[in-house]
Amino acid sequence: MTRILTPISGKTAVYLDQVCARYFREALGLRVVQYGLGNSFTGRIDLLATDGTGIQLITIGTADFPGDLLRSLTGYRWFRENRAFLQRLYAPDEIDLGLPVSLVVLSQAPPPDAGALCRELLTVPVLLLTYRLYGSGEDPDISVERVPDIGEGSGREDLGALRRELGIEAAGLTDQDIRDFRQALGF
Amino acid sequence: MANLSLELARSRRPAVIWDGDGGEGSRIADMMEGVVRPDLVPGALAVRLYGLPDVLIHRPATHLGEKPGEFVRAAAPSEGGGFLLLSLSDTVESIMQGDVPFDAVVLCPPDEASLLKAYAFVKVIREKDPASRVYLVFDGLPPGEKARETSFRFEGFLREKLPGWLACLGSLHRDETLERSMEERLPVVLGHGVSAYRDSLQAVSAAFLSSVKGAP
Repeated sequence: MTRILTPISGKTAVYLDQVCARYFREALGLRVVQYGLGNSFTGRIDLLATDGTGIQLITIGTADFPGDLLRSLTGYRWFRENRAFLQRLYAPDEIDLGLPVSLVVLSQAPPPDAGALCRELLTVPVLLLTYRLYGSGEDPDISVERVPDIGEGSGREDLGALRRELGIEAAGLTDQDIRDFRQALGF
Repeated sequence: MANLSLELARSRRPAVIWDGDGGEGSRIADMMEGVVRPDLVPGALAVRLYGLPDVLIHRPATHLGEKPGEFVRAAAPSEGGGFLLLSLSDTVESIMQGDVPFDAVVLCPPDEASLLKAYAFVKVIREKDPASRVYLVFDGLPPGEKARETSFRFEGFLREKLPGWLACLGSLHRDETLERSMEERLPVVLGHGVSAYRDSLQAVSAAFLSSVKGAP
């Protein structure tokens, strides 16, 4: 998905969080609850957002991809460790902190197999986006694009539908259980 | 299960069957139609084996209003005396609704969907009763290294993900005798000569009996 936003005046670095927040609101329908949660020493989340069915921890990368991913994972660890504290901080109608969490990483140059690696090796879903800045510092444009996952076919499969088809919904197998099963058996 | 019950009887271990799989009629009774007699034991169909213990088949239709759990409590054989075999419908819910502890023989065809379903079943069995013993039987495993590796991997995966008592009894090698026995409604071990399927059935039954003896 590509979306060109109208130019926003001001220094790019200063407005990057706001520009991206606008993208998430308008293009993905997310509600941004908090900017800049945590800190860079213990773990930082650039945008805490929710779509009502899940929580998105968004990292807006300005370094190389490994650095961006590490920052996202550090932020996720901080979030997990401080979930109880955050639950006291936010009202349930603001954000339901019991919802499943996914990570969103915006990076300028993620490698092509990054999506597949994240899907296969991490226990938390990761959405990788790449962005490009255009124009001048005073008059920037931005485009955001989803990083294609080379194993996208299996990644996008509706595992809920599979559970329904097999009549095993009541067993409580998670998507991750099914992915582990497939990986272990080589399916 | 029809064949397993006969193999148990051949080892002089009485088998009573609850034929509770109502999904497509009474499967065990259908499979045994050529040999069962309705007039020997009140409320049950009986397979008389002359010199060996009878195999008794109970169907929900003759126990109206009685839940499987009530039947189990009433019909359970004494310790070491025999086996009560429950054929349940092929749904996770049928296991969840059970209210008595049991051990399970899980038939595992080697395709992905069937193995995933078997995984779900074993998960529910483990959650229902962590002490239950689970026996895996691979059904229709094609010859070759790949299929064997799949079965090994599946067993290893279950051991890692769902710790508990687990044994693999082997695999059933399907051939034309199975189709024929279903058409004739005569169990393979009674009505047919030597075949790959019959041999594998007997090997699986022997492994089951041996495993039961060795189980804690």
